[in-house]
Amino acid sequence: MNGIKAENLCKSFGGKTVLDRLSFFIEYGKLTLIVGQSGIGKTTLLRIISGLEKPDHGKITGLEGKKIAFLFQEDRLFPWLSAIENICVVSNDKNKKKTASILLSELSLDGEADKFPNELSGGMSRRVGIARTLMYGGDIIILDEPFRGLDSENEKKALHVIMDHCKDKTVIAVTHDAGSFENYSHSILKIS
Amino acid sequence: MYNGQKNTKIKLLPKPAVIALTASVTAALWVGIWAIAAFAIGIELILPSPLSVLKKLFEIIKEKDFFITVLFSLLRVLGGFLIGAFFGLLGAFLSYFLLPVKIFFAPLIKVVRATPVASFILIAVLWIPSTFVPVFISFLMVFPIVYGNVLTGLENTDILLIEASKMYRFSVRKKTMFLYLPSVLPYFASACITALGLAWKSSVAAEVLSVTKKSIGEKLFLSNLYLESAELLAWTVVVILLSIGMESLIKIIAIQIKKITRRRYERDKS
Repeated sequence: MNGIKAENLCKSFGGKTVLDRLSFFIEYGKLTLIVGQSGIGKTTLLRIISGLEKPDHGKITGLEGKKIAFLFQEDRLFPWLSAIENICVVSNDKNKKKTASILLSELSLDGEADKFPNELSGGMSRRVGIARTLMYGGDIIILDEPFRGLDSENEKKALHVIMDHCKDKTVIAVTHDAGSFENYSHSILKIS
Repeated sequence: MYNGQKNTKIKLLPKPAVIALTASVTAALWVGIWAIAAFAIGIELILPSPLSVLKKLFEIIKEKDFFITVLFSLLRVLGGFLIGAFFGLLGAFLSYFLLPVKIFFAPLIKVVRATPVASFILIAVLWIPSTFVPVFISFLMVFPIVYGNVLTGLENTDILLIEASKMYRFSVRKKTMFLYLPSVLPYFASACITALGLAWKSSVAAEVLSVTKKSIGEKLFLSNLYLESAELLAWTVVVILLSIGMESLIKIIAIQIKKITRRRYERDKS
């Protein structure tokens, strides 16, 4: 069985241990939810998987040569780019503008394409962030609290769009509410 | 609730009109003080009256080489300014990405900032032809300001966006175009406003000390040499007017740049 394998991952920040000998296996092409209390190290784990952080000890395999898309906990939109430019900027595809427009439409952001981040509500920014992550694509899609700031209707819609675009991809999501994903087959990785 | 007082409306002048009026009155006041001082002294050589300076100003404007003189002085300062701005920008980017470059530039920037401009002019006169001394001095004044401001802008680039650009594997071109340049644009604009005024004044000073041919500085030098105080002040008025004009122009450009980028910069910090 192919997948991402972590063995005895340890990570500390300023003497505070965040991850302590964490081992897990995430199967390729499946949806895995990472759950756990606040401050337990879920985001740190995502950052290690994405390569933004290095573990102090332990090793993680199965990421070699994989393209990873990351929806950060913060939207991290470029403030000087419009919503559609923020989405297009991560792609080198010739039809990126058309794809971005479709994504915006799917996420009910048709009229917001030319707005700048400071003109968007929190929920809108989040959906632009989701669109950007999907636009970038990749083999592994990492989502850190993907539905933060979304109302239930937009949450359902966003979930549907994400799962629709990530068929057969490895999706790893940190969420405080695993129930949102109940209609999709998933594994749960609980950090305690 | 009606309080028994008559509802009176005070008509206020529009803000630009108030500013213009205040400026005119203040200018008139200072010219008046100047006129009184000139009258009290009574020697044109020491302090010419505003009227004689004005007359001289019209005379020099009518001279056939006036516009050439002004144009050459402007070209020199603009040349130095553009070279300084370009290398300041380039130097800041190199220093941001390569620590040795930053270390290399650090003493140079400190020395340039601490050294009196007159020293540089006098040294430059020995090194380079007098035509290029004002260009070199403008460059020298502009470079550290643009370098310092742009470097600060780069160092203040949002770390979260840097990380996002890394995650999305931005190329160097993409990082420059979509991350770093927009981040430093307000810093660069501010630097240009400050630097241009300084470059202009230093450039004229350089023209005076190096007696650059076909320059405002040369005219100032010769007026001083021939004790033509009215002409000296008339050329000074030209320098002031051009300085105000250039500063206004660059401010308009900077405001337009900021207008375009403002809404893009005011991030929703909530």
